[in-house]
Amino acid sequence: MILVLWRTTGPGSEVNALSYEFMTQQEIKNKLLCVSFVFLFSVAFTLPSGVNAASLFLESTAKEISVGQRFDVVVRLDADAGKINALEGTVGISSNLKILKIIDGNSLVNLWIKRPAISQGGEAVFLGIIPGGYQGDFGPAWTGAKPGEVFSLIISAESEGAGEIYFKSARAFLNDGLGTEAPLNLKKLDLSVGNFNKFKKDDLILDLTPPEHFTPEIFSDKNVFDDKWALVFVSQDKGSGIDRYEVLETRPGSIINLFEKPTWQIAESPYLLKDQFLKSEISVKAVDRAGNETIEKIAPRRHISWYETYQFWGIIILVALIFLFFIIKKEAWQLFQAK
Amino acid sequence: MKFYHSLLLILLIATAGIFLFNRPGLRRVIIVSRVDAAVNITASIPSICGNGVVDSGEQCDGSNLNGQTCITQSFSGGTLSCNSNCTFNTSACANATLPSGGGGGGGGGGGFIPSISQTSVTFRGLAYPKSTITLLKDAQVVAAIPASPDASFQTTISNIAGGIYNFGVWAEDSQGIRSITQNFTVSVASGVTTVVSGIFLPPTASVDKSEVKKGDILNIFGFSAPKAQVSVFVNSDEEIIEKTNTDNSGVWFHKFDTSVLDKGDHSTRARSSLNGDISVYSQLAFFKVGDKNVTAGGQSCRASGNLNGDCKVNLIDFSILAYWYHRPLTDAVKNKVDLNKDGKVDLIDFSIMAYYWTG
Repeated sequence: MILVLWRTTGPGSEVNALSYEFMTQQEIKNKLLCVSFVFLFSVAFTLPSGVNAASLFLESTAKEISVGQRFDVVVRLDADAGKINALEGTVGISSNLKILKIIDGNSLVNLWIKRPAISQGGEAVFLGIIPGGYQGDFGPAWTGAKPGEVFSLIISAESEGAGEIYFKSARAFLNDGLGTEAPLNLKKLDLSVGNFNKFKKDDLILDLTPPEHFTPEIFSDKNVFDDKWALVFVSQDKGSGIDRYEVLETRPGSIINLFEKPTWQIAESPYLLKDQFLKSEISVKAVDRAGNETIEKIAPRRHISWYETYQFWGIIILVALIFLFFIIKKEAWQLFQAK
Repeated sequence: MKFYHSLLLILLIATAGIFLFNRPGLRRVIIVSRVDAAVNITASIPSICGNGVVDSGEQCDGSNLNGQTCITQSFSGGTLSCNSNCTFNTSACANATLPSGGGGGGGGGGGFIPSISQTSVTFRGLAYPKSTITLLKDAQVVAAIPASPDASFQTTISNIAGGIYNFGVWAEDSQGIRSITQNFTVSVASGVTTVVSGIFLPPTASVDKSEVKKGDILNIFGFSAPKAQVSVFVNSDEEIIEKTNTDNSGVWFHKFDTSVLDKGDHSTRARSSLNGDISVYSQLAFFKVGDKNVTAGGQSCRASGNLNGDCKVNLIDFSILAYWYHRPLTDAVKNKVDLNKDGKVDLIDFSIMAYYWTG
């Protein structure tokens, strides 16, 4: 728009070149001011859709990566004064990079529908919610809100060339109770992979803290598992993030344990309980990505039946043995007398 | 020529000004930042007995007697020392009323084992008088406390690790109506007490009729802090804003004339202001303008996302929804789990549930 206006005033003839010279001397300051304001005006026109949009972006301290180097990239959300309560997306990478690991310990997302994981295609897929919404990270060390961490990726550089990490797809929703999709800016990260001789040793994450204590709950609902008893659980780990949950159902003091040895089962919430009589003690183990564990237990809701107990079967076996002893003794005596 | 350029400049400045400061989006940013400004986050290191510094709550610390002597402690003389619990040891001080016993040596100073500071977060704010405040940590309930008669509340959670936490606060008024959950994502440092103060919970808002005859009065009411000004917003073609005040018990009540509304579905919500602080909006209360009056039922259990009917929106409801995520819905569950009625359970349904989360 601006260029067209200038061209109409000054095509390349001699007269117009002179007039251009005249303008440069007399009015260039005013023209520059005008251009600045028109630019400002244009920016004001073009920005409204972007100014209030949330952003998903990728952050890395390393820009020049050596082949074989491992580095971390943080996926961040800038809510930009809005409140975001649901988030999903896929992070893709160029062919010369490989996602090795995902860490979600310090994530702003509280409940994952799909915990960030590496897909078969080598991408990072995530889907989760923030009950009550997320506006930004607040803290005593800074003013206002700053973008928060969704999760971080440990990536290795496989071969030389331009590297790219980008959002293949992503959606965010506003915390308005209506499920309104939020405008979202997606920003990719460009890297250069070569032989920069800046090989950095891996930054290993030292996580000695086990996942936080949590409260598993038993429930039944006609909308899930045909109203059968199920278990829900969730824990948080501020270090390396939760890796998995395991559930163990045991009936303490029950003879059944001799025939069917209880084992830990990898589980997801909601988990359909095997023991629908709720006579088992239920243990739920949260394991973080560094291998630290926290185990929570739920006591059996019902006592085991008397005929399941070791004591009952102990008495039965004892009585049977005594009975057997007397039979053998009687038989032996009769055999002895017959001889 | 100069006049022309000056005029153009003025016009451009004025136009740019209009666009820059009158865009609805930017206005929203300003309002939000005012709301955020109401919440203050500070950090303080709790007193550490044994660090040689006289912290809050300590009389002394090691050899640091905070400038005190036996004389300032109302003795006639002697040697003042410090106990291992950072209180004064006056056993070697001479009492003026008794003959001096000749001291006896202080017993040496050092040997303090610094206590390990707890990591804790304190929350302070305003809700409604006699309301119950529920505090969530990472979407799970960690505390429920009563608000004082002046609507203020304070609670502390401790024994947590340092890191980023998503804290949520909501209140239930004396009529059992819940506020929306106000969330703060806070960076908590280890060994430090972080204080989140200035929380101003939004008012509760209810209507007395689910359907109101056009031209009749709709009563809109709820709770907020005492003596707060409540702005009542009624959604129509153009939003209608009317104001009222809470009484000493935090109750607000507004008679709304529905003759200005078209027949059809409408909603209302409210926000409070007190001493320059402005709350966020309350939950929406829905009503219909029609040809008859229908009394509204209770509201507390109607929250979208309360799938198992226990009046809460928590991990159980989340798990039920997660179970149906991208699964074909049966007719029996369609009305329950498909919150936006689009025939499937996807992230939109989870977003609606997250808004009504109670923990």
